[in-house]
Amino acid sequence: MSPTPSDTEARREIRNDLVSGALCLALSAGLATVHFGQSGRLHEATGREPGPALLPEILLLLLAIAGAGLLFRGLRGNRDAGTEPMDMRAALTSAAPPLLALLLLASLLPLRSVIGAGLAFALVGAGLAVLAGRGEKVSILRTAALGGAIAAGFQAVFSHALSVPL
Amino acid sequence: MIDLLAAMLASLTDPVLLGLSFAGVVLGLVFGALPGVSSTMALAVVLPFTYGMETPAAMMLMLAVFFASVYAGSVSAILLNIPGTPGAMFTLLDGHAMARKGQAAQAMAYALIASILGGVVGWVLLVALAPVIAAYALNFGSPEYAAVVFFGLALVAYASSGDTLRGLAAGVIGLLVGVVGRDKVTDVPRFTFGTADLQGGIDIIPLAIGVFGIAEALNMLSRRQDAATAVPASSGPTWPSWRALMPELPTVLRSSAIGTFVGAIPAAGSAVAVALAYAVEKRLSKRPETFGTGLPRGVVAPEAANNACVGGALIPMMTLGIPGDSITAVLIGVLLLHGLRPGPGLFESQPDLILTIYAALFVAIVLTALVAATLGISVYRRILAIPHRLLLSAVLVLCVLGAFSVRNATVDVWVAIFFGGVGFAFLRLGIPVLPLAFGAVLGPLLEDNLRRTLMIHGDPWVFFERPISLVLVVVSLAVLLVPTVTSAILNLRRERQ
Repeated sequence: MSPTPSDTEARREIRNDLVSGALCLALSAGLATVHFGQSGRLHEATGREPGPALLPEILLLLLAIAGAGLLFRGLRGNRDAGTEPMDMRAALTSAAPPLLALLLLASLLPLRSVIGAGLAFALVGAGLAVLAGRGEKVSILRTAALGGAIAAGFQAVFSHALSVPL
Repeated sequence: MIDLLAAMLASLTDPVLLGLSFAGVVLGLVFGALPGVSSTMALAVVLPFTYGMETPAAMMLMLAVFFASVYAGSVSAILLNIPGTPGAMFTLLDGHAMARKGQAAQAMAYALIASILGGVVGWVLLVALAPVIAAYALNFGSPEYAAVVFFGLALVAYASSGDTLRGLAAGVIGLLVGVVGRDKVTDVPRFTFGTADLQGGIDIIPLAIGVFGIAEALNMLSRRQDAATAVPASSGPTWPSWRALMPELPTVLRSSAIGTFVGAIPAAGSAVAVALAYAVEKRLSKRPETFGTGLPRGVVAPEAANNACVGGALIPMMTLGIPGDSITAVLIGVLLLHGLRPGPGLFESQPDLILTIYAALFVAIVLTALVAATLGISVYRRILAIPHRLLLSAVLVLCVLGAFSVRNATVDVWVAIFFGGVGFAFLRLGIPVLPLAFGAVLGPLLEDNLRRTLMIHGDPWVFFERPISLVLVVVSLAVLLVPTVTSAILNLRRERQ
């Protein structure tokens, strides 16, 4: 029997709880390591309550509690929902274009120092437009040209009209 | 009152301010009408253009974009059956049904009239209530202020997605972002990872651009857009007669009051307000079964409510420094950028700015009425035809440019990109992004007041000894704990059965 939409939704919620709970716990543990590993005045000052470590420590504890709560809820839901494996393929496939877009944005700064701001913005704008227009029945070249022109136009406005030193 | 009239007159006669408001209205109408582009994304895109402006000019532009985009969300709801903004999700039920009957222009006329009247009611309540609340809040000590911030965060965690635990996690992460940098009292660095760039903390504007602009654009990018839906044919603008309009006025007043008060609750937002306004009107109706079949009242109620929310959301922002929604979180960032901390102190130190904000919203309402009334469906048809691929590319590029322009610093670009990724991950995991931004805005405020309270009183029990802080802390704890505990008990009972 194929799963109903409500089953799929419930499994998605369980997956979301598990992933977010694990991430919260990992973040809390990682930041706690950074926080408690920091030598010197941070912890000396804690002696004079309320010191600079007071709120971070309360927050790290709260984050760990929230993470543990989410993980617990996810594990309980997973146990109740049975052992059917979760299909992560669709979630990962639809996350690929946004990740590619983030990489394109992140490449802007290094590209800017190599080929100049105008060309870097044009290239990244073209790439983003092509990525957003994937699957549409439109000319890739035209999309890239328009996307690049718009991005270069914005860069010019900021650089010349608003005097932003790009 | 005379001061307010003078401020409004000054805004209406200053060509620069008037021009900025007009530009903001046009941009707001375009962005709001585009499906999937929220008002917050519109503000994130317009934000960089305000950096070089004086504060009144920046507020004039931003509030115009805010108000006009909220109204324009109804356009794609009526014409395409896709809500342009979350506040328009109930407008489409009757609005698009009217459009299918060939009454798109009538539906848009009802939406415009209700939006403008709702905006005016929200504005009147803002002008009437904000000074009273601010005067009261001026008597708050640090325990009350810390409790107000805690209360705001608790409401945000509870209301922003319906899942308190995920909201709490997002809010705590936001608060942790707020403590990054050198401590103001002891100058000790916290979570700076040894980099000089983070010593001054994380600026709220690049963070807001990341979580509201980049993350939303990435989320749209991950979904394949449907092919453009045909805009239904309709005659030219058709204004309802007075006789048709008069029975809708009580609906406008009720829905506007609901919109203003819900808008004033942090994070409740326009989506909650429109749902409540629609439900109330349906319940009061003698023929509730006609809702959803193309009833003008089904357009009037949500549209009056969502535009009244604008005034409502400004109340906690201006009087307590607590954002009413994601848009006012961005507006707080703009004020902070100009060296101003919103809150009751602003009413004493910057009375002229307060009047300018009132005037800016009023001018935005008037200009939205004038501009939107002259636009025909053919204009909206052209706006709706803008290809998504070019729009998304432009939004992402503008977000990067905007982040860099805050301080001309590359670290702000990295912050925006990083929080864009974080915001996208949150959206995919069903974690609300709003508490993250709220936490980052309110983190320093909470820490200042918490530490001041403990330094002065030396004992955390002071929060339970003063009546206002006691009520706020108890209600906040109830808001955070009751839903989680209740759901856990219900689950246990279900298991035992």
